[in-house]
Amino acid sequence: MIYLNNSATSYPKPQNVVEAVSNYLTTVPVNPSRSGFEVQGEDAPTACRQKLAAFFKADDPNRLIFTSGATESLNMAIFGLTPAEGHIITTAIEHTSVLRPLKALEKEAGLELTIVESDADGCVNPIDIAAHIQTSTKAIVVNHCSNVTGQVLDIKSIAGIAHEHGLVLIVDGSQSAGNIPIDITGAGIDIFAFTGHKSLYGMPGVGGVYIREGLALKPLKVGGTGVKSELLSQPTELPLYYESGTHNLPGIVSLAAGIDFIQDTGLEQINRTKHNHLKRLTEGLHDIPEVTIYGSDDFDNRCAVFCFNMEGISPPDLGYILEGSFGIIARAGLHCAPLIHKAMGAYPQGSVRVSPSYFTTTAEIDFFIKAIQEISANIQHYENY
Amino acid sequence: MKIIKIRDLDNCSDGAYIKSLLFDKVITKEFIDYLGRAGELQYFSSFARPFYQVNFKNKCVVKGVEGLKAARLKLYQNGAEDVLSYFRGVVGAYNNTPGNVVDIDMFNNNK
Repeated sequence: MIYLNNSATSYPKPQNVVEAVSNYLTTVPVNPSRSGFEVQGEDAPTACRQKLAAFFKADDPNRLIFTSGATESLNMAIFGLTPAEGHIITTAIEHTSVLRPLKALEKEAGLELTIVESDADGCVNPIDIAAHIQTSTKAIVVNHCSNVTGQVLDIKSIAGIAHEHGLVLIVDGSQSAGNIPIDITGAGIDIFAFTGHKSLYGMPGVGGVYIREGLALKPLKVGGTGVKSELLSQPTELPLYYESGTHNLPGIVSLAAGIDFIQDTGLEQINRTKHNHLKRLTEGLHDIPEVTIYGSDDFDNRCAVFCFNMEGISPPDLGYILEGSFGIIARAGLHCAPLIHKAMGAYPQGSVRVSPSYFTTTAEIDFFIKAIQEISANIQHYENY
Repeated sequence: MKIIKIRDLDNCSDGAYIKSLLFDKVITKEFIDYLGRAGELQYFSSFARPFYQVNFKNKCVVKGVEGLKAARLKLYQNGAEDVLSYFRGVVGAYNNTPGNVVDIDMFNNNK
């Protein structure tokens, strides 16, 4: 089986991640803040928070809040920050984890929402965002990197525009985290949402959100924090204020190990390997007449996400054949990003997405290319029911 | 041959339903050819593992990979239960047909 669906969740996980989780699960469970005695060194959440803060260049580890993933992080940001009335700007390249909370607020709370169009590559011009700012605008919510075309947006420019107008910038880093260098402080990001199970190599069910100093979100949940039990109201210290309930400790341990792997391997090396795969995919499919490739030729501003379609066969059927007949796991459909597919001219059928990992081999990429060549050679006989 | 599990997979934008079928045995070339006699068969033998799809006109399309126990069923019309019942009949007839030679007349009207 060849796994090329790393934009959904990464596989395989690095060996040190597997070992860290295994060690955690076979060690006496000492729940941080609840056990009453010290574990050796830092507790797992604190250690992971410090690694994340260093990795993302965040000013204060305690402002990195653990969540179940980017969706919860974005829900916390959007529902926690947004006043009942006002105007929010977002873009057409967003995932439904952004679009649906915003649409819910638009429908239920009277929020005014502007969705800025992208071009067919998924590029959004910061000037187009600036053009939609109104006196009532409160925030800009943008995807750092499209999960469909891999296009990376110019976050620093967008942050400049946001701050010039006193707006909060919320960035969805689901696809960028672990793929490209991120400097939360330097870029001027106010809220940064990320997930742990994609390019940070952690387990599904862990992620986080950075909230800059001076911003106060309404917590999604309140309750037990393991300390300050004498208080009947939620402790106001960070990260306790946002982290009620039991931590996903295996997930946090895996995330810390994933960061270790990236730091030890080198983000640049990981990025270079994935970009080589992206280029090989593009070159390999470029001359197949039935194939339409989406995304910019400017690989420097893309993560290694490769979307395409083949004339004469629907994306679901192509995905099914790749998996069933060739043992290749790709993903077909709209990838939870319907609006960018409209810009690409691939709505409602969607596209087939191939997302290699650092662990993907050149031989696997070549096998995929041969599979597409084989399918295209037979496609004239295919009846698209 | 028997369908032992049917699972809803997706609703298509054109109003069709996609269901996942699980058979009790792997789908053989013989069974695929059998289905092809009741519908219109496309068989792609050159793929690493052969892919097939059979169109039961105005009813459903079944598609899958030879050697697997699973297949996909796309239903064309709203009367999904009737179509499923029809397809179960086709599968059941394979079991009941001596030498697996289907009574073509039974399905001719569906072609």
